[in-house]
Amino acid sequence: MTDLIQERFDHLRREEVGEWGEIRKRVERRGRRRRIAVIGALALAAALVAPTALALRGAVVDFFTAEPGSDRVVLSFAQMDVGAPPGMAPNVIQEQTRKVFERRLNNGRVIGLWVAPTREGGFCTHLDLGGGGCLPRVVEEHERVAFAPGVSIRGPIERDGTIRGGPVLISGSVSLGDADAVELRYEDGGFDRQALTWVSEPIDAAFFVFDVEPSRWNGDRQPNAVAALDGDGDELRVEQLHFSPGPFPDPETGAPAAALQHQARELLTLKTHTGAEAALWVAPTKDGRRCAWLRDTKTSISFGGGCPPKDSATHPLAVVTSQGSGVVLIWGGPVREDVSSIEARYEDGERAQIPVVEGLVLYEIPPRHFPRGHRLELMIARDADGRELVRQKRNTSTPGSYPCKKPVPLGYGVEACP
Amino acid sequence: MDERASAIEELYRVRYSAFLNTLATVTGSWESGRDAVQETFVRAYAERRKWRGDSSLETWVWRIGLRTALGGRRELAQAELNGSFDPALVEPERDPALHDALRALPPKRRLVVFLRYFADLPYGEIARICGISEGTVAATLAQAHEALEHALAREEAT
Repeated sequence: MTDLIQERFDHLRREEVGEWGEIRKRVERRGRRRRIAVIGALALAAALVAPTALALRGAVVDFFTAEPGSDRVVLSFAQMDVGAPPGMAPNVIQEQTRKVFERRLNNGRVIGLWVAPTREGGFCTHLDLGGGGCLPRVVEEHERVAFAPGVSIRGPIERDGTIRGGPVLISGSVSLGDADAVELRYEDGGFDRQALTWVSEPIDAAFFVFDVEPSRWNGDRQPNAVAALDGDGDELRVEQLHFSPGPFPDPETGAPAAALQHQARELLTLKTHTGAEAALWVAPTKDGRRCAWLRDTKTSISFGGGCPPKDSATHPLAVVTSQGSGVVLIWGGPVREDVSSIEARYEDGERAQIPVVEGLVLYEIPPRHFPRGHRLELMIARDADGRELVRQKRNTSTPGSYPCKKPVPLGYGVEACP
Repeated sequence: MDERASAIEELYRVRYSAFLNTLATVTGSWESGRDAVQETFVRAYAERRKWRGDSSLETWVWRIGLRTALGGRRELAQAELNGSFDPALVEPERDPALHDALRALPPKRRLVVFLRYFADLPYGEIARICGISEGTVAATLAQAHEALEHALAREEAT
């Protein structure tokens, strides 16, 4: 009879699979809420006891009572939105800029880290001497940004990548609810640990800045990873650092450092409407890759280049647009191997064919297509039989995309061609 | 990830259905049962360092689960299990005879039955989860078996 009872229960039993990812997200959200609640309680307690207690070793910052940003920093945040391509502006609320903390660097200089919320729920940061950036709100599709360290090197840096000047700053934000500290790890096994500074809603994230000792700028003692740790010192996440800045291109030829220059050849050239002579060069590398780089033969100005990994030609329209000295060029690649030509379509109905040579292109947009209403609006990749492979719409209204006679003010001191 | 976190994640993946089937008898629906399971594991994961190791991790999570399903009561004392909750089959229409037989049992015995047959827990675990002795579990299950056998025998006879 006992087995019969078991059978009857088995018959009623539901078999389902839970969503573990939801558990982790809820734990992290709860951790942040708890931390912010603690911030409020600590701030109140500190206000009752002594104003200096509010510093709390920089561990927590109440956004609404934090020091507002200086005009200089507010302006730098405001400029982030100005001139951004449609849909790309971070929408920072610059008037809500707050100081996260100040740090004294190894060279004695004091720098500040500033933060401002965005209208979409993310935030932007500005680190004195170290630049800044914006992150979206940490939701599922952006979960990766919950721990986002970055490297800033003031320089100078030699061509082989040797760092000769600092500061060298490793900074970032953490939105993992359990995070209490970060650990900067070095190649020789050494590490430095730092308590995180949490900022309350609407930022709801923690911040850190490491000033790397000069003895660790070069050689085999460089930083190689940053780990976010919980209160027990357990790892929550580790991010590898790509620390070495070089090597850089040859300043004479513009060739990428990996290019075997004695095997270099000029693949495509064109004379621009300004008289400049643009040349697209190619050369192999020791490990079988192909480098391509663009330079102005007359002025030796380099437009950049690279040596992409083998089998990287996966997009039919992997080209770049460069603008400078009154010239707009479409160049580069490699495009996907089945692409044999690219059609450029302009707003005024004009069309042009861009040839593809060994997977690479070099084309100048004529100046008659600089004004609005005449700009490049569509690129179409075709195969050898003329069949359309892919279409790529181009933004025609982004300020600064085309040259003009007189740039116009876009606000906050920023000027660009309309 | 630390060992406790890994163990809780594994427990969730392996025993999700056991928790769902059992906690739903306390909350009264599959939907609220799912909510209770999620909340249980959120609490367990967030408070994993509070597990002192004086019972198995699963027992500790089950106690959190029953507290969650019962509405957050702190203690799972025998007295509380005796009358202030009413576990039952979520879909009684699928086996009315079993449902009636279970309804004839006091709530505490019903919970022990559910922990045994939906959660597949051994007597010792049930005892620690409910805060009663293993002998009480055995006696309770024996009484429950007897009551169920009678009820189901009557069903077969009719």
